[in-house]
Amino acid sequence: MIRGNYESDAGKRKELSHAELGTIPHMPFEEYSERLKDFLIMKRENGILEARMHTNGDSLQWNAQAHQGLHYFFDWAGRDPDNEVIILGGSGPDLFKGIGRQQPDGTWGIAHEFASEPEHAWRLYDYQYYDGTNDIEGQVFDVEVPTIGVWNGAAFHTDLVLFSDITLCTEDAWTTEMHFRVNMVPGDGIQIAWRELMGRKRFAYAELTGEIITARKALELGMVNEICTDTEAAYARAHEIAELIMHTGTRQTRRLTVQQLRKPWKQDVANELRNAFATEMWNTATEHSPHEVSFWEWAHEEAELVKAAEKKGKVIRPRLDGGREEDEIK
Amino acid sequence: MPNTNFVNWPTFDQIKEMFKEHFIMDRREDGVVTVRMHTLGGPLIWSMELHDAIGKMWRMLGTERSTEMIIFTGTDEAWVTDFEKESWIPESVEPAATRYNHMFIDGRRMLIAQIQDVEVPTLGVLSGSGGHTELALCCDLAIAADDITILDPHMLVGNVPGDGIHSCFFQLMPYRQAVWYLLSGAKMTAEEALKFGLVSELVPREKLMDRAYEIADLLMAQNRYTRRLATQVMRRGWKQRIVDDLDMTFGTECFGMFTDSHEHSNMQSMNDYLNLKPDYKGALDLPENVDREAVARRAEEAN
Repeated sequence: MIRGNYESDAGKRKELSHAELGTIPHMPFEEYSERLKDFLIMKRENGILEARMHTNGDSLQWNAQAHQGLHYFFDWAGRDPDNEVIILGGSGPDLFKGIGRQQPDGTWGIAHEFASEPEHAWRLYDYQYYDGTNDIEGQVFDVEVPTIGVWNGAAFHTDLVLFSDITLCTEDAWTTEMHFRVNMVPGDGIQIAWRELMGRKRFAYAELTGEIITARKALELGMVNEICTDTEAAYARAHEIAELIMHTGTRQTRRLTVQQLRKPWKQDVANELRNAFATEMWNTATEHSPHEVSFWEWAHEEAELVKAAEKKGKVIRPRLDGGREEDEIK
Repeated sequence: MPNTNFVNWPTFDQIKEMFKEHFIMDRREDGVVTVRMHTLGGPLIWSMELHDAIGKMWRMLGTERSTEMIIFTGTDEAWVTDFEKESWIPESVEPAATRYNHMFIDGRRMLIAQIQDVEVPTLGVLSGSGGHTELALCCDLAIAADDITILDPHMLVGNVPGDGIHSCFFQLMPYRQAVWYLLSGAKMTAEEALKFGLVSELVPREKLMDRAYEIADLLMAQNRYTRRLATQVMRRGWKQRIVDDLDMTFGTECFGMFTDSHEHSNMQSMNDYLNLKPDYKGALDLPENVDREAVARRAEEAN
């Protein structure tokens, strides 16, 4: 029977005294969890770090705070020798609420760090290219331990839960590849994840049409490993899988195994990411693609229809005038 | 006779006529064609029109059935060392459209056509000093005059070297040298070019074309099929190289150009840096009264 057959070696790692050697301790959990607390709620038990992205305890508002903070997280938490497994997911009903920033008066404001007009072109480098490339490279190169992504509800920037070694999602999870739909080129690493996980033809279709990918479709295509009933169930399952991993391989085996698992990702990232991202930035600059929240609202509308149709065994195909339930031709 | 007729590709003579403003073409009996870049008969002045023509030339000539080999060379001691200010005006009038249509498309097509669309062996004869040496060096064979200087000016004018010169240098030179010359814009002597493997031999200037034709004789002594199939064997590395890093790297160069614009009209000449005094026949500077909109429109209408 496959179960936790061995004892977990959590907390048993050996280390010579920093005081004696003069070595510099890694930034501890207490410090980086405090630094990043405004968008990540972290807790750790038995070497398993759980990090939930959030804004004020609710679904994450996507802006530079997370875009930049996440690569700090991958660096600090990814290399913390006291972390053995990292779980990264969302809070509230959805992984992401949308792109923007809630103002003190409660209104929704634009994330102007993502602006691309000529006078703001420098932001393309610092706030998209720099943070974006480091986010992908951080996930793939900087994290030494097994990772589990928890995808709850509505999501974009799904690389954050797809580059992980294992991915779980909730029953109501869904996504759409936003780039082409907001007149952008998918070059920020998302193309690597989706192409690898669903195959070239399916990815080309999903990208060019903005197809809504539901939890069921994601499972069928191989983007996620399991569907869980809801967010708490997903995190509980992530912890269980993390414990299974801890009760199976020793520390060195776990860490070397995931390096093997990551190798194809590393190759693709090294091969493509930097130039594809720069091309995306150039295109964004000349086409002035909107980083606005309205697209996400329309996507929600379509996702609800698609999920309802799915329950009846029907499909909603991407169309010029969308929203029609149809039979799937098998 | 059958119901229909063959649709003929333009003949060599038609192609020669089509491209005469940019290339002087000559054809030997046995199908060896020499293509010489020029501007009004004199040394080359880099223009948008020529930039566009190069890819078209490779495509048209490379698939013309009576052409069995292409020798590509330049005029006098300059390869590409200066820019025609008036020609590059569309870049300042309509930077976004010009950079996509006439740099991203034309710039990539130039190299892709040379590698993918030319069915016959190519011999680059690097006859002059300056930049854009990939035009000769991405040929299957390449020789150079022994008195030339090679450089890549991208970084000197603040641009990312991503237009194919990078693919060329990475493919041919040891990596360390390629990176040095691309990042620094440093000058490379003919001897260094030979040492690093950019060319297979140096030839005294007065003997350059004789040597080119000797090499052509060597290849033309073989049978047609062997020659053409062997060429494909030699091209494989180039095909992989340009698939690996041409398209999106050009995008990186365009991103760089967008954030910090360096228009070709304002780029300085390399002639002082190279100690050259080319005897130009074409104009370099902006004329007195320039109709910028008209020049931009003409570029838009170019097919």
